[in-house]
Amino acid sequence: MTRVLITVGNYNSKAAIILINELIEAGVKVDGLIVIRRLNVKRIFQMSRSYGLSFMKSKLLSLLGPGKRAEIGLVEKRFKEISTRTNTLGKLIKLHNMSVCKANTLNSSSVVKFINSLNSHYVVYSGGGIFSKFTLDGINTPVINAHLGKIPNVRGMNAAEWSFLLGQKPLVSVHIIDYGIDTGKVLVEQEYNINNVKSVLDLRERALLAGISATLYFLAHGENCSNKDNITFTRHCYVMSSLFTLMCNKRLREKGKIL
Amino acid sequence: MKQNELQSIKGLCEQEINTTANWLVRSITMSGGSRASYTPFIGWSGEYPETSGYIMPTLYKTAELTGDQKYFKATKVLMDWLLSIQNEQGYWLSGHEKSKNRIPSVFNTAQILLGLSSMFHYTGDESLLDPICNSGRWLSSLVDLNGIFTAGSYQGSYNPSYYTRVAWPMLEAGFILDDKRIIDKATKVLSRINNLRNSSGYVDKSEFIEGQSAFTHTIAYTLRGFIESARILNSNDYDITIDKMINKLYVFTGKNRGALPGEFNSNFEPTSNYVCLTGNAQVAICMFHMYEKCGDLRLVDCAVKLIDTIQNKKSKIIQRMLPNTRGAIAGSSPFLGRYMRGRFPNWAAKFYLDALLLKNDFINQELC
Repeated sequence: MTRVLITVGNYNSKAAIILINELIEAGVKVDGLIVIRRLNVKRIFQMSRSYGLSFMKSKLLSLLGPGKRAEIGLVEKRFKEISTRTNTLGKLIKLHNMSVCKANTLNSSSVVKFINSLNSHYVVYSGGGIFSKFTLDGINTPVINAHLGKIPNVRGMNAAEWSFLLGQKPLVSVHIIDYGIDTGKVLVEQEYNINNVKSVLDLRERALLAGISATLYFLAHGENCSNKDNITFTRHCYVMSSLFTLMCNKRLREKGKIL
Repeated sequence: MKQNELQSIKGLCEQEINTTANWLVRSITMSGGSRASYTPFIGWSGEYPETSGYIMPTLYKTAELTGDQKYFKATKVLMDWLLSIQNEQGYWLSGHEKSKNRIPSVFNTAQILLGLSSMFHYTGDESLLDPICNSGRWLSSLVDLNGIFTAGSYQGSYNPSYYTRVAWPMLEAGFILDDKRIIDKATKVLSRINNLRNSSGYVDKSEFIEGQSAFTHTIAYTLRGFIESARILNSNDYDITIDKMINKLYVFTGKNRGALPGEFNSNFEPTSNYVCLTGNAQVAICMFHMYEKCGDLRLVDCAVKLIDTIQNKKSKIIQRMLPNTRGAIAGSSPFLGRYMRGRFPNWAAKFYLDALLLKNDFINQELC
């Protein structure tokens, strides 16, 4: 039986709750959760220095609660299918006797000790920050992530949206997390359908659910990808400006021919 | 389609174009030059020939977009003034009208030549040919066999790498006049500077003062000089340098959400916490031009973030308290950052306006 740990960046994350439920249904044992406390003083201070006060206002609101704008449509629909006995992390932890590590950052010594003590087969990344080289060197368990775009063509943020705008196939890549950002060995690629997609949010949700499915596939069946050597990494993708999100929405609707 | 959001973004862009262009018009004196900068509670500096030169085509393009005659008139006023102060040998002096110890200046002459060449392209005005010829030949006469300017620099014999932005107008003039000598000399300058690229992608001597950190303002000058020269020459010789610089600036912009650090060292590492707003605008323009060449939309997104950062860092409170700052762009953010500390330079507004015009074009192409 495959045993995994899950990282969680938001205690109310519906995507994480869906992932854990699906893993358990598929017969994967979830040994424990690494829950990152996102609302902490150090992080708030760092972000206000980096991004300024106006950005902080919107960011703080998203930290306080679930990512509401990401959880409409398909994800919400899938979440509502989950039994009320397992629709919160708290209930899942209790029901399945999961170990929990709560930390302010993924790269704390408590997280490293926790991962090493459980000796699971994989850590499945589902939010919480970026693993540092130091942490990755210190843990004895490979970390896997479902990236919402094709690696190496579309690395970084807003991968689903950038994949669409850059004319790439809509697919998710389950990969090993290594020192770089989305540079690790690709284990599974899985395409998803963007016919009649209504919006960027809809696109992201389809990609997100495809990512969960691809993760399950890997844990059940192993790799489906032959990796080429000497890959040339293209330009990294960053968080899209609001103008580009608007443009992406427009092009999606034109593609879907929604009136 | 979120029409309201689109209208809002488009409207804001047009509003910014108008307020910035209006500020540039206000910077122009009765005698015809645009004053270099405005300092709160102190006032305007002297008229600055260098920046007046390259403000001309910016106001001309704004006039073409808006149809507002005052921008056409402003362009004419600037041109008449610049032509009236050009030395008969073809050069313009360094500094602004209130500066001391002014000398014949390679860089200043080149920027004015850039403006005149652009105006020739837009209007076909043949009365510009003589001033273009005189300044182009004066610049060319100072270039030695190694591509070094032997006189006319700000600091002794120091030939900074942002002299790619001298080579560019020389090429413009060379092609307008069909003068191979000017073209050849410009190419020598570019070759020499291209060889100064180090392994980090930084082009050595991009800084104002040799050995210090370079502002993004001068780094962007260097980069833009290469981009435009490559376009004019239809050459791939500078591609590696351009790509490395673009990629570095793209990464730092992305990591900082548009707030590009204002200074870099020769390892292309940031050395400051403030943003050089002029540099932001100039890098945005470079990103737009690279997008035209390679079609990578990520570069336009980068440009949009750079522009949005400038917009977001304008203080509405200061603008209300000090009407002379309405439409102006500060040298740095925070205001007392090292680049043009505590001032609103006219070239910051000019480059911001150029970037806005490109953004506006993109919005019209893609979203309307």
